[in-house]
Amino acid sequence: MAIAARNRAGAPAPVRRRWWRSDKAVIAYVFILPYVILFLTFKIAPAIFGVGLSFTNWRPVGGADFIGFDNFTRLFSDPIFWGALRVTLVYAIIAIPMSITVSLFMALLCDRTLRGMGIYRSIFFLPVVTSSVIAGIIWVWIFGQQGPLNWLTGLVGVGPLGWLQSEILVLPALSMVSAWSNFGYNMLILLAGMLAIPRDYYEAAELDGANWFKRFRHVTIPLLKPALFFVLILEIIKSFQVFDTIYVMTGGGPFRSSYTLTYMIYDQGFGYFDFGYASAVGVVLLVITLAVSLVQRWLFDKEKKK
Amino acid sequence: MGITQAFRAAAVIVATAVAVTACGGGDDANQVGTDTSSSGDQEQPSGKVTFWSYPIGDANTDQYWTPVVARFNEQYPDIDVEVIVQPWDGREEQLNTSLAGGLAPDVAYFNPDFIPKFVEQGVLESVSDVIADDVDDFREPAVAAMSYNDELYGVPLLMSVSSVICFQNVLDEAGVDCPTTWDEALEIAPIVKDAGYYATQYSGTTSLNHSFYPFLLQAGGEVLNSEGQAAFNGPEGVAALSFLKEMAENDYLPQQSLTTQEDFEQTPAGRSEVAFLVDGFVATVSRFVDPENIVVSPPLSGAQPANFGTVGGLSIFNTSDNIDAAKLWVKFLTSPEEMESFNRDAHFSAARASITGIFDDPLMIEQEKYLDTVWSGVVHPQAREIIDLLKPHLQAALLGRTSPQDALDAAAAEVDGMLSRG
Repeated sequence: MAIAARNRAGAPAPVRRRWWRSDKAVIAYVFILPYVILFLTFKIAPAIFGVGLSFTNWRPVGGADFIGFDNFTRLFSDPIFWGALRVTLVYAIIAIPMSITVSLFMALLCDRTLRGMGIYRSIFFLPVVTSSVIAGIIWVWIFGQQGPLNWLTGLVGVGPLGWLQSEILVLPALSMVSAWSNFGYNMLILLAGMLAIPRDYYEAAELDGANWFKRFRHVTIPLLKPALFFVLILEIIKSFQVFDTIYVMTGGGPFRSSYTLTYMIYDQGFGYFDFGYASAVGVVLLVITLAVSLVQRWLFDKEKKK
Repeated sequence: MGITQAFRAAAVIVATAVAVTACGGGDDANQVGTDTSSSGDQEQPSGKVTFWSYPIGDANTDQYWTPVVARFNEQYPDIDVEVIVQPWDGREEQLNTSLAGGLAPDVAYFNPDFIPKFVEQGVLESVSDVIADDVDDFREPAVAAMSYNDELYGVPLLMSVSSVICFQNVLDEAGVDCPTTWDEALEIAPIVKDAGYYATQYSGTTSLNHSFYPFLLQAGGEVLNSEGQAAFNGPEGVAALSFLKEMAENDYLPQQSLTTQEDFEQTPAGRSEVAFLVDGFVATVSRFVDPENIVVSPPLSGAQPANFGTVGGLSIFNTSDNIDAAKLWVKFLTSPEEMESFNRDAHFSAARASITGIFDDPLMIEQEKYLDTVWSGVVHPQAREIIDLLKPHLQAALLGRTSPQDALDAAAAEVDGMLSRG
C-alpha cells in the first residue's frame, strides 16, 4: 500500500500515447476500417433503422408517419403475437437442450483417437452446410405418415404418429430438425474445448477412482463451461430466429402451432409490407434475445467467481 | 520503422475509399425507368421503356425477347425497349423496393393479387384505353381479374385453368366414374378407400385460392360480401368446410397434406394414388403422371360449378416517364399475333377468346373449355392477410379440433378486425 502510494506521488504520471502516434495501431485500424464500415453500414445502421421503423407506419411506397407506440399497442393486443411468442418460447425450451445434448454427445464420441475420425467429423459437419430448404423437404418425408420415422416407431408398436399434424408433436419434430442441422457446428466448438482440457486431469481423476461419468461430470463439464456458454448463446439466438425449416415444412401450422415470431415478422414485413408493425415484432424479439443472453452471461460470470 | 503522418493519412483515405467502393454498386447505366428524355411528338412516342418479365415457360431468355423487341421496333423505331427477366423469388419485394427507390420499371408482368395492392398505393396507370378497341375479344374472367374499382389496371396476356382431373388407374380399380358433383364425390369416396386409394387430396398449407375458396364458390358462397366484410362463415362456407371435413374424417383424403407443405410429386396424387383432384392443372399433373392415366373432367359442382385459374397481364406504373410508349408496348405484346406467339412459348392459354388451337395436347384442349368460368382470387388489397387468418382455422376444423361453424366464425372475427383496422 505504502509503495503504491509513493509511486503515485513520486513518479511522474505515465504519458498516455495517442493511438494515432502508434504505427502498429494505425496499421491495425486501417486494416479493420473496411470491415468496420461495412459492419456499421449493413448491420448496425439497418438495426437502428429497424428500431426507428417500429415507431412509424412506413410502407415501401407512401412514406412514413411517426405514430409513437401505436405499433406496440397493437402488438400487445394481438392474439397472434402472443401465440407466436408462446410458440417461440416453447420451441426454444425444447430445441436448445435437445441441440446441446446431441452436440455434446457427438463431441464426446469424436473426442477419441480412432482411425478415420477426421472423416467422421467431416460427415457430422455435413448437415451444417446442407441447404435448410432441401433438409426441410427431406425431413417432411422422414416425418411422413409412411416415412422412416413412423416405420421405426411401428417396430415397437407405436404409431404412425402425425409428427407434423399434431400441435403437440410439431415443435419437438422441428426441434429434431434443428438439432440435426446445428449439431455439427456446435460439436466442433465443444470438441475444441474438450481437446484443450489437459489429459493430466483425467489421469489424476482416474487414479482417484473416478469412473467415466464422474470424470465427465467433474472434469469435462466444468472446464467446458466457456465453450458450452458460447454454444448456448448461439442456440438461443438460433432458436429465437428459426424460420426457414418451419416455412418449408409446416408453413406455421397446424393451426399456428409452429408460427413463431420470426415467421410473424416475415408475414408482416414481406407478406403484407407493413414494415412498421414487423419492426415492432423485431424489436420485441431483440429485447427478449438480449435479455436472455444478458441473464445467461450474468449467471455465467457469477458461477465463474465462485 | 516509422511511417510519416502523410502516409498514415493516405492509408486511412485508401482504406475508406476501398470500403466505400465496395459499398457502391451501380452506375447510371444500370438505372432503369428513369429516362427523362423528351417523349417526342404525340404520334411517334420515343424514349425508353423498361419491362420486367419473369421466367414464364420458354419466354425467359434474351433469345426469346430480342426478336420480339425487333418486331416492335419495326413499328416504333424511336422507342427503346429493355426487357429484364427477373426471378420469381421475392417478386413483390423487388417491385416495392424499386418503387421506393424510384427505379420501378415502366411495365411489369402482374398477377391479379397485385392489382388492388398497387392501385391502393396509387402507383398503377389505368390501361382501359389500351384495349378499348377490342375489349370484347378478351375473356371476361381475365378482364375482371385484372380490374379494380371498375378500372382495368393490367392487360390480360395469359391464362391457366384448373378443373377436375381423375386418375384412370384408380377409377378402374375401384370401378367408379369420375365425379362431377359433391354428392358423386362422397358416393365414390368409400369405394375408392376400400380399393386402397384416397378419393382426393386437399392441401391445407397452400393458398386458399386453389384449395378452400373453390369449394366455397361451388357451395354458392363468397369470401367477402358487398360491404367488404367476411362472408365465408355463412351457410355456404359451413357446407363447403363440412364437405371437406367429412372427407378428412373418413380418411378419404391424406391427412398429411392438411398440415404439411409437399411438392406435388411427393403427394399421393403425384403417385397416382387418388381418384380425382378438384382443382388440377393438366400442365402440372402431366409432368409427373402418365398423360394416358389422366382424365380431364368439368369443374366440380356443389350448388354450382366453380374452378380456379390464373391470369397474367401487363401493368404500367404511373411513375413511368414514358407512359404513352409503355402503352404501345403493352398493346403490341397483347395483340393477337404476339399473344399467340408468347403463349405458344410460355405454354399458357391466351387471354383472347379468338386465339385457339395453341396446344396439340388433347388434355390441354379439353381443359381450355373451362377458361370462361375461371376465378382468380379475391380482388382485395388484403387478400393475402385474409387467407393467412382463415387458413389455420380451416386446419383446426379439418383436424377435428373444432366445428366448421366455430372455425369459420372465429376466422371471420379475425378477418373483420383486420379489415376494420385497414
